[in-house]
Amino acid sequence: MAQTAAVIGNLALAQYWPRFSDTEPEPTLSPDAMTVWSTSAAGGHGLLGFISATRSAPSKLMTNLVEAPQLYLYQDKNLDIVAVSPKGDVLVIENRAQQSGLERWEPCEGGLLLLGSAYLQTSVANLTRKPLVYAYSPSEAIDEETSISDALSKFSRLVFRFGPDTAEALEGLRVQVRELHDEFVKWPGSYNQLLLAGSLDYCRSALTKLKRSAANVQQEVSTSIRNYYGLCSGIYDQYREATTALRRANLQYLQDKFDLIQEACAKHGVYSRLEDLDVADIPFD
Amino acid sequence: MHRLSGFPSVIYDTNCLVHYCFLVEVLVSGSKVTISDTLTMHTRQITEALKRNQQKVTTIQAAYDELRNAISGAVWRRLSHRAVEAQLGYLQGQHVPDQIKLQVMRNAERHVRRLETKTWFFVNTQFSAATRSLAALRRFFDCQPPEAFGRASVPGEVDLALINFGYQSQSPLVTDDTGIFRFSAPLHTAGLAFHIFNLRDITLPPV
Repeated sequence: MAQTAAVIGNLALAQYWPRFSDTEPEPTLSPDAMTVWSTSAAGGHGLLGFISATRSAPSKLMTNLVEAPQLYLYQDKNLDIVAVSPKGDVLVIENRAQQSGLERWEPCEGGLLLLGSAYLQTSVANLTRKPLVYAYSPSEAIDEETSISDALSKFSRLVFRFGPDTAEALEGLRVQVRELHDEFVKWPGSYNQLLLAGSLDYCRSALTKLKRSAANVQQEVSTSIRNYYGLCSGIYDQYREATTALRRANLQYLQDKFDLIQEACAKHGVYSRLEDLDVADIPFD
Repeated sequence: MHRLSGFPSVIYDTNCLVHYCFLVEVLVSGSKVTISDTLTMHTRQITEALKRNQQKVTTIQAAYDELRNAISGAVWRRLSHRAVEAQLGYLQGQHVPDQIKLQVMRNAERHVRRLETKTWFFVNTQFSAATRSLAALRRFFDCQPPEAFGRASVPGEVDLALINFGYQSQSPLVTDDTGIFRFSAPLHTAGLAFHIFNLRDITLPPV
């Protein structure tokens, strides 16, 4: 799968994310590279930071982050983060350019929610091959005086999730699904390999059709597909070094999840169940 | 077909079962298009004849366990065939989407599950190949010159077990695996196998 940027950094978490295998003791900011930090946080949970260098004068937040590398930030060339303002239990990071990158953080069930653009989501997923998951404990309130580094350090769990499904987000997910499909197609043939390739191909088509659906339908179906994509990514990670072993795996749980996606698609008239699918209904994309 | 007469049961290898189960309908612009393997009709006709004669079809658990992966391979091959691509409405250079391949595979798999309910078919779950017999079969094939196999691969463990199953049960083995049936006579002469027949060579009785 294509990587959107070179990765350098002090990568203590490389064992968990093999893609971060190229390490550099002293990360340098570079316009062409994404710099990654990682460290351990309270409770033994790992935290990860990554920045792509952009402006000649880093924003205040960026400076904070550089000084406190247990936090993480993504910043691209068009993004300038100007304000960090805790509001109740929601920590908002505003994005002046309103183009891409971080939008806001907020606590959610079981984690801290990061809302970001499709571009950011794709970048993160391409790098990690899985959602970023950390632990959190929202026991302490965040007040106005708390710096972002202090605020985030109160959380032991951060969950990377996706923002509201815009057309851009759906397209980002569709690209991810297609790329993962293209990877599985190269693996040795077996029942499980065809299950993965075929179901991801189905999901890709469903996402294309989904763009015409109502927002609530988009939300429901894309969430199912995103979760399914996460499961498939996990299988990719687990078997990428021993692809022939996939044929012996029991993927019944995956089939069940895929059946639920088909149910959701059929129920909302997004796309036919696989067994009812007409070849002529498959979108050409 | 007469070569299979008189035996209470006939052994199918995994490929024969794939041929039997690979008969699937796909919707193309509202019309049903039947997709099958090249030997599906032949295998079904033979099976029907066996059923009429009150004969049973059997295989061993290890061969049956290979069925799902064997079906996926057959689906990949068959749906990559230009004639089948055209049948499904794809132009030269266009390929059948993987979701259709999955649809066909799951449909064929349903045939496999139905097979389990048939009275004329049973999987022998008790059979265990004799270690010495397997070793003798392995030595036999290891002694063959590579060119003797042609483009076929050297028989694997499941193939050897099937040959031994035929020998132990004195039931004929039907296979379309060149790497097995072309050694039928020498295996029989060496006392390592019972009758082994090439699926394609089995002729049907006149109707």
